[in-house]
Amino acid sequence: MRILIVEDDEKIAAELALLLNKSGYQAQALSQFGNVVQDVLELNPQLVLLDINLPFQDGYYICREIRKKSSVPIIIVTSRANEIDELTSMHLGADDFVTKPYNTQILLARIASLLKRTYQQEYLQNITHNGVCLDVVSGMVQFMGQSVELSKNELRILSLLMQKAGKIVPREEIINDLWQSDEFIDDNTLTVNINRLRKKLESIGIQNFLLTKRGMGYMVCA
Amino acid sequence: MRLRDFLKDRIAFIAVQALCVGFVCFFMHVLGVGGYTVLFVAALFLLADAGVLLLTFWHRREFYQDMLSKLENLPQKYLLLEMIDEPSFLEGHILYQVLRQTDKAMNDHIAAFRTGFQDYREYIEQWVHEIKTPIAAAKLTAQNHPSAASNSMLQDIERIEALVEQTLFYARCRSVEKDYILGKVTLKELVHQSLKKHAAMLIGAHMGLELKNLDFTVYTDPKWMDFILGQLLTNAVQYRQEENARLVLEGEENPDSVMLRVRDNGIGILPQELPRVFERGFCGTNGRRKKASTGMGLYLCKTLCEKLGLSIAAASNGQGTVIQIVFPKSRMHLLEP
Repeated sequence: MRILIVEDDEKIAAELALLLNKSGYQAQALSQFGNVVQDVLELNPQLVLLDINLPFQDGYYICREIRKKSSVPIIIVTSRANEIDELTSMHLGADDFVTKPYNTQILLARIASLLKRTYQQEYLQNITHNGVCLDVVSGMVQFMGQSVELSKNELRILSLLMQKAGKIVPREEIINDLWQSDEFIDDNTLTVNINRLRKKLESIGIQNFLLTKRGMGYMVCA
Repeated sequence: MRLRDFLKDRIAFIAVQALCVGFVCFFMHVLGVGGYTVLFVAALFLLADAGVLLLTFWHRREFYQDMLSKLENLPQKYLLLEMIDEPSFLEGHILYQVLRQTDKAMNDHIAAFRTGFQDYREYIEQWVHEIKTPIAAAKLTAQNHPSAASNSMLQDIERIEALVEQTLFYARCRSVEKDYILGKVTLKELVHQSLKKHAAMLIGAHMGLELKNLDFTVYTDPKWMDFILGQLLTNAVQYRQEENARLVLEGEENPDSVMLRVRDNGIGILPQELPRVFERGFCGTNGRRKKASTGMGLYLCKTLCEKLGLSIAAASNGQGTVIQIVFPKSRMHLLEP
């Protein structure tokens, strides 16, 4: 997924690009703001993060001009947190509105859900790792011709771990991920969910796939 | 204004008049004028004096009595001048003019102050918006380069962020304007939004959550509620007990209101301090012990709640704290099918 960052604070633009690249997107930041509308249309990204306070034209104008020619999803990012700005943004065709200083988890969740809404078919794909195939749409895991159905929480945990296969994912990060989808679980529930998930995986012959790193978190072996 | 005081005030005039009448009577008596005639002249003079005095008294009393009773009944005493007519007698006239000039001077003074306050408030709001950019940059940098140092810095940055946010709401709650927009929202949406925003803090504190009966609709400003709930969540984390910290968020519907209760099992509030927790700058024993209390959080919650027409109350039995917010059911609510 190609994301274009339109933000005149160079440091924020660079760090945002880094964050998005780390999270598996291809992010690019604009460095010139003389002709943003033209640049956006030419680069043809799949999502635009747009700041309101820009040097030559403000974000509202840019948003309106882009909308005349393209339906690319736009998230407005601003430090002004009042309702009028939010209403104006929505009215001009922005798809979402995030205020600075953003919580990166929330920003990533908003980006993911907007992408999911816009490109549903392409975006929801199967994740495969070491022969284990996770079908995100149906919530099924398949391995050597066998399959088992996962609960919503188990599905979310496994897809997070498989996306980051080979890396340790801290417990806090998994809990946070579930919280962002309105499942406010605590430590104990996570342990229960992980154990249940592991049993389900073992029931179709997947052994030693989900490892516990004591004191650090969980990981799917590389 | 009493007659006695009025006469006392004119004692010199009365004395001189009496002396004059006495002298004239004596003079007439010496000249051999008959007793009845002297008496008649004396009575005539004295009656005329008394008549003039009474008339003056009557006239003044009417004006002052009217002014005093209006002053008594006016909630905004400084508006007195708008309520009284300019009197016709000299002293009243002077008093009226003096009042008018001091009034005007005070109005100019207040106007200058008000403009200054408005400028200051605008500056604070602008400053808050501007400082958010470097905070956002610092936060992103810290999150992108995880290490022990940057994680520790991240916590401080988030604390700075919360304090900056408090500044903004303080500036807002001091102003007389209504800068909120009421919207229809469920308790669930409000609670979920705040929990997600403060997820890192709550998860870091290993806070166990329980959400109950939150499917009630209320009319409020979601941004303000987010701030209020954020303060309550921060308090719950700050004053938690180390083991098994739990937080219950539950709704309840009554015939004329919807309630949201935020209940924790933390260190609680001392009973003697309970009535003062919403006071500005009040920290309490537990607040001072934790050293992180500014005494502003609950004060701002209360002020914002009052502006939104909600009521907020605290209870504690030494085993945790319950904060209860009551959303009255508006007529808009009742009109719904």
